[in-house]
Amino acid sequence: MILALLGMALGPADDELVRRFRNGEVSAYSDLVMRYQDRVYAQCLRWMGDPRIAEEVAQDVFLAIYRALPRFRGESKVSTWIFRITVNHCKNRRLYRNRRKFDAHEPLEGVPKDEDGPSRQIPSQGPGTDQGSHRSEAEEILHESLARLDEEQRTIILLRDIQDLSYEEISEILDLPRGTVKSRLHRARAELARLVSRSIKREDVFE
Amino acid sequence: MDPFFAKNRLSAYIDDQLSAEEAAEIRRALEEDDALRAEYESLSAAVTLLRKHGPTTAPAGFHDKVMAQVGSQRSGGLVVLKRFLRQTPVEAIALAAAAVLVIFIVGMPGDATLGPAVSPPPVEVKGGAAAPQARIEASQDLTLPLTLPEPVKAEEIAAAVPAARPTKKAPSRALRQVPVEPPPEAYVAEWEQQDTTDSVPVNEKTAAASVEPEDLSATPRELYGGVPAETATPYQYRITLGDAQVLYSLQQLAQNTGGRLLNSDGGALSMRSLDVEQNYARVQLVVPPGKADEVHDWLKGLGALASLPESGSPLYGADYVAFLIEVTYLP
Repeated sequence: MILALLGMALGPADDELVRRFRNGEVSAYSDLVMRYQDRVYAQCLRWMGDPRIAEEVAQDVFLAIYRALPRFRGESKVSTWIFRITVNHCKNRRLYRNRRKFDAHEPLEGVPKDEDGPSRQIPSQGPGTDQGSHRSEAEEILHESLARLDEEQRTIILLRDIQDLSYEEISEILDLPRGTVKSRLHRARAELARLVSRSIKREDVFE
Repeated sequence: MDPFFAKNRLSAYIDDQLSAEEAAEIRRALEEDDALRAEYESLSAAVTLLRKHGPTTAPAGFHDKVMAQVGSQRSGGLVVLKRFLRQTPVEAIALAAAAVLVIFIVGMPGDATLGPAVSPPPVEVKGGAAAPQARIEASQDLTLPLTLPEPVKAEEIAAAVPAARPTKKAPSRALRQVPVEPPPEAYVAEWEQQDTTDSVPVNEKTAAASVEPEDLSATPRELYGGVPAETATPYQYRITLGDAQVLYSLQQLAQNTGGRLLNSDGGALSMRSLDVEQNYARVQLVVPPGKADEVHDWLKGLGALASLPESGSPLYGADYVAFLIEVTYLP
């Protein structure tokens, strides 16, 4: 992530990469993937909750970008455009999976299940999709809390607090007025704070 | 400051989005109000948690996988051509070729035997590290005969869709002019793994915001009569296309088969072009039973994947057949 941000600061601008790609330089697209892969994957992972699905969706996002780049009109920033595609792919994938009942796990006892959110996965005994990843306790709490936010809240909070996008950029991505972004973000954070504080004591997270 | 207003500005305060004046008021309120301070600390903790543990790195090899996928897309034009040729009867291809030859000869100025008046641009499909522009040109050249006017004109469809008996083996040529993109392998695999008897309730939540209901009160039942919608088991199809105007094509098909195109809730459909950002739509095509085969063939001709077997019971109501169609636009 840090390398990607460094590359963004020191390397050619996104617009320049797009221009070079349209002039036939495949390496410019490769640079764009390298630059955004961590952020797009993080958005997908925190939205979907499942690393395997997140990787698939992130790959689909970059494939869609590759196909659409020749027609990118430059009316918005490249980063904004990429995140808009990412958000829509996540939503589409979630709808598709919900319809196909991929996530038809029973919620854990006493845990309300958000219809649109990632299901709380019951750990299996054998190798699963999280194989090889060892979440810290804080990450686990974050994962579970995000899963309980509704889709709209999860989207807006990820764009602001993980992608570090401005209110204006979020407004453009979600096609919402700036004031709406502001109020929804506040509600989303308040809900997340409630969920987090219910799960743990602050000392445990920030030790 | 009023505690209510102060509370609602805490998030903006954390983001430093308040004016200097408002920020000073919030600071004062925080010093005076313990409940507000607790709320602020709770919000700050959640934000810190997100910012500290939210970002992550892509899995190892992610970049290479993406580039490999992109590489495999470069022969997409050939795939389209092969699929078109496979699905089109040999007689139709021969007839089309003959027609093109006649037009070419008749339309050529001067001595037609001296050679073509216009040299066709070379179709170059490079492998490996082909430039993206080259790939696009090749794809366009290969799919040139398949170009869809936007949107499809009513008279074209009217001429293409047989009014009386549908021809099962050879659906209309004009309708097949919709460019067909192969669906991504991942989608194909997932779709094929589905339980083929799976059905989706008609009133299920609609997809994205790409199709907006205008009149939710108008149900297929009211439009066509028959069994209640909640007992429906419509045909289900999934199409992945590079055609942004696919909804218009479906609309034309509906009109020419005496049917209706509705949103997935059974309400009237707001027609729109799909694009890379709003690339998904879920619609119902409701047609008279006599037109079901025709619609089925047309959808299959587009490369649609059906989730019910052909032998399954298609009847939605006594007077109509419903097709639940998911469209994904992949340019």
